[in-house]
Amino acid sequence: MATEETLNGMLKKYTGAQLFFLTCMRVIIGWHFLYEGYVKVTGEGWSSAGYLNAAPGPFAGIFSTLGHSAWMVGGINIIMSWGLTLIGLALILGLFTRTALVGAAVFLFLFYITNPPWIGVQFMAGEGSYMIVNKNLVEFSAALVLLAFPSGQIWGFDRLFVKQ
Amino acid sequence: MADNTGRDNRSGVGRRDFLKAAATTPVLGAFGLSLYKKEALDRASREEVLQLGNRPSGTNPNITKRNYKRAASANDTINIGIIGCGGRGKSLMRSAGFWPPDEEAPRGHEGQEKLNLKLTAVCDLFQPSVDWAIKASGGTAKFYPTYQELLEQSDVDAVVIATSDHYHAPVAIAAANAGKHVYVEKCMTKKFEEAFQVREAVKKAGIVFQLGHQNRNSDRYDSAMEVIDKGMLGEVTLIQCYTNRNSRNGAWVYDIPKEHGPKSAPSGPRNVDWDQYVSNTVQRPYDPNRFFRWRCFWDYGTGLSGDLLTHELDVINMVMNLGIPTTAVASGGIYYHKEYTTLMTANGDPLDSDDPVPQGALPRPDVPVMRRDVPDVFQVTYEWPDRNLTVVYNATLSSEHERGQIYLGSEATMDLTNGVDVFADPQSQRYAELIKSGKARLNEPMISYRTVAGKGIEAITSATSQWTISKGLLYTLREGRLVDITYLHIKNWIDHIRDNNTNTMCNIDDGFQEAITAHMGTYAFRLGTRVRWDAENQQIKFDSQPSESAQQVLV
Repeated sequence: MATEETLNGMLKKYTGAQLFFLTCMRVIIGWHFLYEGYVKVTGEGWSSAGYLNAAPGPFAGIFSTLGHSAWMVGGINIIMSWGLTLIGLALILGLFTRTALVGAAVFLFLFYITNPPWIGVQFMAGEGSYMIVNKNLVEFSAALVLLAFPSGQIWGFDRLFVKQ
Repeated sequence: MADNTGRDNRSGVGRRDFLKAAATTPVLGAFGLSLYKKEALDRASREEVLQLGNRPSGTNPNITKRNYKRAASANDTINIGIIGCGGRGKSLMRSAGFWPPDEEAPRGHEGQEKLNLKLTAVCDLFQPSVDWAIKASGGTAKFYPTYQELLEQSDVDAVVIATSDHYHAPVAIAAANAGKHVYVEKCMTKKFEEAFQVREAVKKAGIVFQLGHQNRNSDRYDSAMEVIDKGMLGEVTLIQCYTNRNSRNGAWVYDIPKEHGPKSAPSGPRNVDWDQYVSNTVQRPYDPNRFFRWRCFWDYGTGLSGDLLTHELDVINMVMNLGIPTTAVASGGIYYHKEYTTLMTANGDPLDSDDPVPQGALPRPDVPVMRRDVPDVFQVTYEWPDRNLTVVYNATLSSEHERGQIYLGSEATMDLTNGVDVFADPQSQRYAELIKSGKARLNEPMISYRTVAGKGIEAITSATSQWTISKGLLYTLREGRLVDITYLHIKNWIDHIRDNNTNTMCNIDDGFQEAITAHMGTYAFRLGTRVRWDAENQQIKFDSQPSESAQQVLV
């Protein structure tokens, strides 16, 4: 039961407010992923091809190569749409939270480097003003914070399935 | 600090445990409810908007043409010949599935349905282009020095014509007479009368004809035609379209190969069949500018009107089902690309016209100074009085600023710059309620279709609806994949050949309208008079009769 004690030992350190806001953050990121996944799964004619082809920055060549392969694009589209959906569900439910957070961090890191707001890079403009830091990077950091401060074992289904 | 894990270790999974585990589950309920509300609202506003059109749908016959599905299952090999295998000819061959082994495959090729074509014949007036085509065919193509000889061959079922404009009509007519199916590049003809002759020959022979306006296949026009068909814009009184380019290549000042020279020369490369090139136009001594940069000269090309205006007017004709305009007025001139000296490095290596000029660059002794005679700034105004519509086209070859193809209607405006965007008019009566209720916003499109981005959402960032493949001239979207639209246009032609159906995406009637419209612009400019189309008598008329000497420019 050492693991259990250590786990509980760490969890005990959360105040009610800490636990509440960590859970909120997890659910909010989950909501974002779930909706982004949902529109891609259900959206007619959605494809990652254009985004990959338009990717600026130092990795543009790699992404453009992927974007020009029908086969790769097909695979990426499935991974993207279902990956986002499943991660979103997992984060809201607090089920397999660690795996989902690692997945979320990987996705966010890739989104960040496909369109990095670096100085001198002609990145695709969106709403807001960015220099190096953008919302993808903020959400990426939030995913890492949630990895360091887990909440699924307290308020979430990981409580039932993980480390009993 | 309190132990807020609350885990009940004594009895395994207890009721309290389960409640805490499921603590965030109600969020999914909230998500579902929000989704339902949002979808219902989106659906409602789209339907509400579409219902506000004032016409029953299905009035434009061009819509059914766009959904063509091949009927015949037979997939016999079709033997094709290429006549004119320069810049555009090579692109067409690549899109049709032919390229030399040392070249990279065209983008998106791997996922495309094979067309089952065999390249059996090539005719070109420049020897290296012939060599390219033979290599691209895998050695199956035979060279014929004249198009007449090529058209006599029984192992040619269909021909792709990508010569300079002054040969489009003679070759297309001869091909139709020989019973060969024809894919010909735009502008369909160089001269006004030739449009009648090509139409007659194609209809008489019953061959399958396709004019090379590949951008008809761009999927944005499905949505654009739906918007027009339903009458959502109210009364469309003005359409604005344009071409802007700003490079020497864009202004048709192409590279001239290092090795070139007329066949008739006593020595040298002797790889250009100049005598045949000028045999149906003004006789002049060999000039590489006039051969390799033919689009810059009226003797061989059709200028901005036939070359670039037709891209715009052809799709506007498809979307609006307009036919030939009643009048054309034009103006323009050579404002910027007045004179050009072709350069080489100090070592004698040719420089492309858009290359930076290195130190010590020298004029090439084999290329005279070029003075184009087609305008680089051009504006034409077409009118359809029976439709209460004016279309304004203008172009400059010294600016690349994007301006859009814009349909201005009394209730809404449609902009085809990046896809399809429909904006409610601030003074619209029909959309007033939508605007008031916030379902339509004035500074945002009321309806928006993106060619490539699908619903405009690409990845988990909102930055993404921004990009597009500009103007849809190269690629479009099919089942989520980027597809080369020239491939689609050739496939449409081939499918119709296999089905023995002449109603292709850009058929002979579309081609006839394209050519007459283009030539009205050219004549209006070159003769300095308003040109009228007399639809009843199928004749062209001038407001002020040009002198005989002025009419000489049209020969």
